[in-house]
Amino acid sequence: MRYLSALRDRAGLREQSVEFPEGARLRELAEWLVRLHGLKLPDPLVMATLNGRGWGQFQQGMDQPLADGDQIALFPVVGGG
Amino acid sequence: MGYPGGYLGRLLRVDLTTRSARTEAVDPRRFELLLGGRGVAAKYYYDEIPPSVGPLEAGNKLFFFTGPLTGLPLPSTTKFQLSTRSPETRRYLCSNCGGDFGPRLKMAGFDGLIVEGQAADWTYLRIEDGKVAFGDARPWRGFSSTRTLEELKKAMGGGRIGAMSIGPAGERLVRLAYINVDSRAFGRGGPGAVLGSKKLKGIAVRGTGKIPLADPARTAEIQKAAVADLKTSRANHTKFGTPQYLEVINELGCMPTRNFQTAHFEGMSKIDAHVMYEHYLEKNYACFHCSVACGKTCVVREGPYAGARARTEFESIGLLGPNCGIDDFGAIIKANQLCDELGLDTISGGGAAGLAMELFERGLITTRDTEGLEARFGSPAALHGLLELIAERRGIGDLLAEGMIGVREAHPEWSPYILDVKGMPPAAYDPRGFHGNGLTYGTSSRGACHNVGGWTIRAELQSGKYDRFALQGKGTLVKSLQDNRAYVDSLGMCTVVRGAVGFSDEPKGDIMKAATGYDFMPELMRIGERIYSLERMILNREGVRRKDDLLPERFTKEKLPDGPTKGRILTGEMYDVMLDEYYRERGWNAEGVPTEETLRRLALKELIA
Repeated sequence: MRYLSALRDRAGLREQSVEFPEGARLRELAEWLVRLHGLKLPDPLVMATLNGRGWGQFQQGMDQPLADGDQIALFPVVGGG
Repeated sequence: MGYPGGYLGRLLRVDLTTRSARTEAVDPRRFELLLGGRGVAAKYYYDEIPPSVGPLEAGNKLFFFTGPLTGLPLPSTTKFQLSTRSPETRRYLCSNCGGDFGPRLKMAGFDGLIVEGQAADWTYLRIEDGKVAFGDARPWRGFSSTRTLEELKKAMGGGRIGAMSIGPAGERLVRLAYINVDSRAFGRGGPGAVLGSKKLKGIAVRGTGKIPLADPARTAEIQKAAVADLKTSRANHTKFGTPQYLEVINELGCMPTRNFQTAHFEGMSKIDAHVMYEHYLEKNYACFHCSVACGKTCVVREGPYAGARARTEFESIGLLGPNCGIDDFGAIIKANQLCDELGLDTISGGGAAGLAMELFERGLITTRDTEGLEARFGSPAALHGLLELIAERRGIGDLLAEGMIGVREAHPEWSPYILDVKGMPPAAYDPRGFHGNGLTYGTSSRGACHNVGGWTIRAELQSGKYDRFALQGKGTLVKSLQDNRAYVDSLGMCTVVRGAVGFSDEPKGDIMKAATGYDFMPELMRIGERIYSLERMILNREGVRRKDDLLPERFTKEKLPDGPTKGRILTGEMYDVMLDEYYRERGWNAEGVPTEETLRRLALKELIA
């Protein structure tokens, strides 16, 4: 898990490793984020990626399975430089 | 039709050759079809700049236009627009800028300012309400753009003014030269060299008039609601400004690194937004009537660059930092300050420095070309020295000052390392990581620009419809983003706040009715589409066809070697899929020329008659 930009302040850390039981899905990860950081997704001001793709872009949605070594990133919604 | 609010209905035309000025009425039909700002400036360019006029010739003109919202009591109504022939791309240029100049020009009684001709010697312009004076700028020759702004303020006797200026790079006709506007910028395309060619060192404006407003009570309600919205929705902009995106774009494998040789910078943790905020931020800066204040004035407090100060942004950091292999934030601020003082665009300047560093490391140029500089990636001394060489046209800098078109003409064998579209180097995103962004660069009205071309990153990450590595659908996406941007650029409001007042690809709300008395909202996307095709007609007239919409070799022939996007490439065949779809969506033929049916559908036939 990597907390980027302003999300670093909200989470209070830059990154952390997390272990979930076999067969866990994005849904369990989202529930874990609520418990740990009070971060409820989807949030219109937060973007979340799994291995570089937006969570909303997976056909299975929140049922997308997680796998060993998955990279999760959370950051504020982006809007042009 | 006339409008009860938003517009003044007249422009100021200044001729530097004859040292004369006159006011002209603006046909309201132009506002009806093109809104203002970018749209109306494009129309004047279409009418007055034939393809035979070179960018640095006396026949070139600068068309500055505000929009109907510029200067009104609404959030961030700071923006105005410039069109001119670009010294960098040698073609049509549109450019958008904040600061105070646009609002003050309107308070002086004008929707637009046209500057034409060529002064006999260095001159500055003073506009005070309806009066124009020509000042002697010979003593300011060689002054930095920032010092020139101060001199302009003194010459106006202080008070609330707007001012724009050029630095030594503009004076020397460097094709990467920018116009400094109240410390914001008409940055890309080299418009500073157009001012330089006219021997115009700067312009200052003071306005004391009121801009008409159709419904003041409703406008005040909209303003209040927008400020409340922005406090939450743009809180991160207020704290970190655009540098908040540095870490994100790097994480996504799109950060230009060492002249786009890769897209993931290993030194990001030394230059990200937290580093800026904790160690370098001096104060926030707000443009005219803006509650967000996303400008970040940074100062170096210790070390070799102590005292350096600049208002730096994501793109500037990206191109002057990772693209040159620099992981020292103080050195980046110093480079940004140098660009401001010399009068160079930070994006094109960083692109040119990155190219020189790669050429040096490949042995294609040597210390003989760089006046002894070891021009290697990661060297702040090399970056700072190269920027000075460019601005002063010394050594390899003289060639780089001709822009990417000039470099390629002199050394076609360097093409694999030259990155540009239509002569303009890319902004701080690598399209191998977001394929829609490639189409953005290819089809932008002014070259490889992320703003005019349509900023795809959010949609390519967030929307279920547009996977970042997919090709299908990108033509539709990019067209929609471009049309949206074209109308926003014509309003006079900053893109950062647009969402808070209902401006999107589905405009809603009554802000336009409250401001102008006319409900433009249902027509805005069509107006944006009209502007984009009008700009394309100009580019077509200047010779642009499909071949000019293609991407540089590095993006189409080299796979990214490492990082999160390792192995990604955007080949010519892949790009063609997106480009074909894009042309179809626009109603342009396979060569990128609007069809007769498109001209009729968008009322362009009438507009150019």
